[in-house]
Amino acid sequence: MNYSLKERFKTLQLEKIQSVGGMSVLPIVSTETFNEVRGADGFIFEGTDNYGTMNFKNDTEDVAIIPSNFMAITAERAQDHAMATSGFIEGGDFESFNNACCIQSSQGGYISGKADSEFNILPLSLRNGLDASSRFETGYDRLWSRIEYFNENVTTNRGAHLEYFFKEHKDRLEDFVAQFEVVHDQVGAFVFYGKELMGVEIVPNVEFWKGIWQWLIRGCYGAEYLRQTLLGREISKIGLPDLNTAKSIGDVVNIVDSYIVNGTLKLAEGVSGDWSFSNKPYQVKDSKTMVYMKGELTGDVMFIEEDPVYISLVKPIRI
Amino acid sequence: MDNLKKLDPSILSFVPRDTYYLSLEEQLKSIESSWELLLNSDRELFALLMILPGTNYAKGRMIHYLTSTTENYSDRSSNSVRTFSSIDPLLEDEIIMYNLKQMPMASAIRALTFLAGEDYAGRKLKRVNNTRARRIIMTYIFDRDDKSLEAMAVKFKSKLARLIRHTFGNADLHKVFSDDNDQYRLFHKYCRHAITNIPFDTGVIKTAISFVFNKYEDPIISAGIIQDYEALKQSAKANNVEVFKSVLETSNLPYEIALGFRNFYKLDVDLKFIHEKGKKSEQAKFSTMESAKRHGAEKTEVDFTKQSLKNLYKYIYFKYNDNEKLVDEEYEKLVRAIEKGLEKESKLNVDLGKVVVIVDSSDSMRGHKTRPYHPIITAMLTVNKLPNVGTVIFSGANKFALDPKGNTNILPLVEPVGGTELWNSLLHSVELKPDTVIVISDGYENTIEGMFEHIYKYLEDLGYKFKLIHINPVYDSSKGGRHLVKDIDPICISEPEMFETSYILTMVGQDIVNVKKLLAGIFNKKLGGEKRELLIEGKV
Repeated sequence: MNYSLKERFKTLQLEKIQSVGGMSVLPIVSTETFNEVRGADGFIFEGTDNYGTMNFKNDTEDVAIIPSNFMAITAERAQDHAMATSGFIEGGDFESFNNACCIQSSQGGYISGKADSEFNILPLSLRNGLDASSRFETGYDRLWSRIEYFNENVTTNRGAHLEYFFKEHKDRLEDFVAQFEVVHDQVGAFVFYGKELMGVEIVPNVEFWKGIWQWLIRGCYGAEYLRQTLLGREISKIGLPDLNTAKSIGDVVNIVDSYIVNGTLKLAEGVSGDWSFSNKPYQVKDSKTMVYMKGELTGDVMFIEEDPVYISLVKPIRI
Repeated sequence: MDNLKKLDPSILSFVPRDTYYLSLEEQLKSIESSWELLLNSDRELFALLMILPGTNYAKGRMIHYLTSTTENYSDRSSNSVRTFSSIDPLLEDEIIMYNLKQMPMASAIRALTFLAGEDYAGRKLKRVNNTRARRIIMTYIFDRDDKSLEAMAVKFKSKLARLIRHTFGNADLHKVFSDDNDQYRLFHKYCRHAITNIPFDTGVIKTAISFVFNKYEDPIISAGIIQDYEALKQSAKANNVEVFKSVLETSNLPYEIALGFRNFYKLDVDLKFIHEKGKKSEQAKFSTMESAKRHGAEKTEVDFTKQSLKNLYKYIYFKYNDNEKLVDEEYEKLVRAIEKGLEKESKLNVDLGKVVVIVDSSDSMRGHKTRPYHPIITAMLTVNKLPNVGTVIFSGANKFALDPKGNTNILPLVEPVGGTELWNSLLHSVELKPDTVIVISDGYENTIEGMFEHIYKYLEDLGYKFKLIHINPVYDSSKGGRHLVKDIDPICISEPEMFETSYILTMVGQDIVNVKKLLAGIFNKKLGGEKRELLIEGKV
C-alpha cells in the first residue's frame, strides 16, 4: 500500500480565507470526490451497551465513515460517549467500537439511541489526549482527568462532565459556528488559530462535508477556541487593512482584495509542502484505518483501496 | 414618553415559540411587559400600531389587551398624545375588526379564544367577557353570509362552541335551543343588540349554534354542509366505508374534516381517496401537494396564479433543494404566476429616497434545517416590497439553473452560496449615489469579520452621505438580530411586511406625533373610511 497523501492533495484547491476573531479557516475544494462514501447521512448512532462501547449501523448500500472523535451528548439519563478514533462501516452493516470513551465521570446508564442526542467532534485539546499510542486501547475513563482540566475556570460546575461546557456555552458556540460558511465544492478545511495551523480535515465528498462541518467548527475547533479565549490566552487576529492610501473606491476594492488574498496565501504557505511520507504509519488497525503523524499533526487517515478518502489531523494545544 | 424612546420591535412580530436561548415562558414575560408598557403609556399609539403588519399571535394578544382594559377605554385625562378628535372607541373597534378580518379564519378564531382565557399549550389568560368583547366575538362569528357561517361551524366546531358559551354564558345559552318563543325572542334581542346588520329570519344562526353544541336531533338542521358533516360522521362512526366514500364524493366537505374522521375512527379508506375527493382551497391544494403525491393521488392541479409569491418561491427553492427539475409547462406557469405576483405587489409605506439593496447571498442565508431557505426567501420577498429600488446587488450568489430549456434564468431568484463579502457590495453601492443602502443579511460575516463595518466607517469618514439600513431576516425575539455595524441596530423581520412595521417602530422614539400621523394615513388608506380629522392635543 502506498501511504502517500500526495495524490489526494494534488486534486485539492484552496478558497478564500474565512476569519472570525482569531480563528481562520481555509476552505479546501475539489471536484474530484469519492461519492460512494457516506458520512452523517450514512451511519446511525445506535447508542451504547457497555461503558466504552459505541454502536453504529449503516442502512445504506454505500460504505460510511464515522468522523474521528465523534461524540454524542444524549438527552437520556445515560453516559455520554465519544469515539477515540474514526470508524468504518460497510453498507448494511452494524459495528461496535469498544475503544470509545465516556465523557461524564459520574453518570450511569447506557444510551438507547431512541432519544435525541447532540453530536459534535471532541474539542481539540481532548482529541490531543487520544494520542497515537492510546487511540486503539480500551479504557472508558481515560479522558476524565483531561475533561476535568478542560472545564477548569470555564464552567460553573466543576468535574469531568463535558456536557457542562457545551450546555453552558451553547449560545456562543452556535453563534460562532453560524459565522463560518460552506463554499461551493468544499470537501475540507485547514483550521488556524492566529497564524498557527491547528488541524486539517478532508472528507470524501461535498455532502459528507456538509454533514459534519458544524460538528467540527462548533465541537472541535470552536469549543477549543472559545475555551482558550475564556482563559485569556491570546490568539492573534487577522486584523483589517489600512485604507488610508486609497484615492478612490477602486483603490479600496484593490486594497481589501489583496489583503484577503495575501492573508489566504500566507496561511496557505504554512500548509504547502510535501504531504507524502515514506515511513510506515504509526499503527494500522486494519487495512483501512491508520494513525498518521506528520510533524506535530496526529490523527486518522482512512483509505479505500489505495485512496486516502478521509483525513483528520490535529495539532497539540496547551490544555 | 421617555419609555417609548425605544419600542420593543417584537410588539407586533412576536411568535410564541421556544428559541435556542429562551424558553417560551421567559419570552412571554418579556413581551407582555412591553405590551403593558406601551398600553399604559399611550393607548392610542398602541391601537394605531395595530394597523401595521404583524403576526397573528401578537395582534390577538393586543386585541385581548384593548378589550380587557376598558377602564382606560374612554379615559380622556390620560397622558396619551391623542391625534384623533373624538373617535377613540370607534377607532379601536374598527382596528380590532380590521385585524380579525385580515387574519386567516383559524387565526382569528384563535385570537378570539384569547378573550375566553385560552392561550397556547394550556396557558391561561384573563377572561374578558364585557359587552364590548361579546360584541366583537359575535360580530366576527355571525356577521357573514349563511354559507360562510355553516362552513365555519363545520371546520371550527369545538372552538366555536367554546366561544359562544363564553359569550352567552351557560345561563343564556339554553335560550338558543328553547322552544319557548319568549325565550327565543330574548335571544334574538340579545343578538340584535350585539350585531345590528345580520338578518335573523333564516334561522341559520340557530342551526349553526345547535350544530356546534351537538343538538343533532334538532329538526332545524336540514340541509347543506352541516348535514353532510353529520352524515359523514355517522358513517365513520358506524365504520361504513361505502357510505363514507359516497358522502365525501358528493359533498363539499373539506379534506381536513374527512382526514380527521378517517384517522379518529380508524377507517379503512386510502389517503389517496381523501386527497382526491376532499375539497381543498387553493392554499390547501398547495400545502398538501407533496403529501397527495406521496399517497399516489392524481396530480392536483394547482393554480399558481392564486398562490402568494412566498409560496411560489418556497416551491422553487424546495424543488431545488430536493434536486427536482421543473418541467417545461410547470416552469412557464411559475414564471407567469411570479410575473403576475410581482405586478400586483404593493410597495411598503416608507420613504427612503433612492434605494440600493444588497442581498447577502452567502451560504448561511440558506437558513436552519428546520426552516430551510427562510432567510433568502424573506430577503427576496422584501426586495419586491421596497419602494424606489434602483439596483439590487446579490452578494455571493449563484444563478439558479432552473429553466428546463437551459435559457437564461428569468426568475428573480438566486442560490445562496459561499462566504460573506458584503464589503465589496457596499463599495459598489455607494458609487450609485443612493439616499439609502439597505443590506439584507443575517449579520454573519467571515471574509473577514468586521470588514463591512470597517468599510462603512471609512466611507462615513470620507463624507459619503447615505442612510444605511440593515434588515436581518434571521429573527430571534429574545436576542434581537446580529449586527453588521455596531451602531446600527438591525431591523429584524420574519416576514417582508414586517419591515414597514419595524421601520416605523424605530421612528416612534424620534417623533411620536408624526408617527401617529403616518399611522392615521395608513389607517385611512387601508380601511377606506372617511378621512379622520387630526387633532394634536398633547405635547411629546
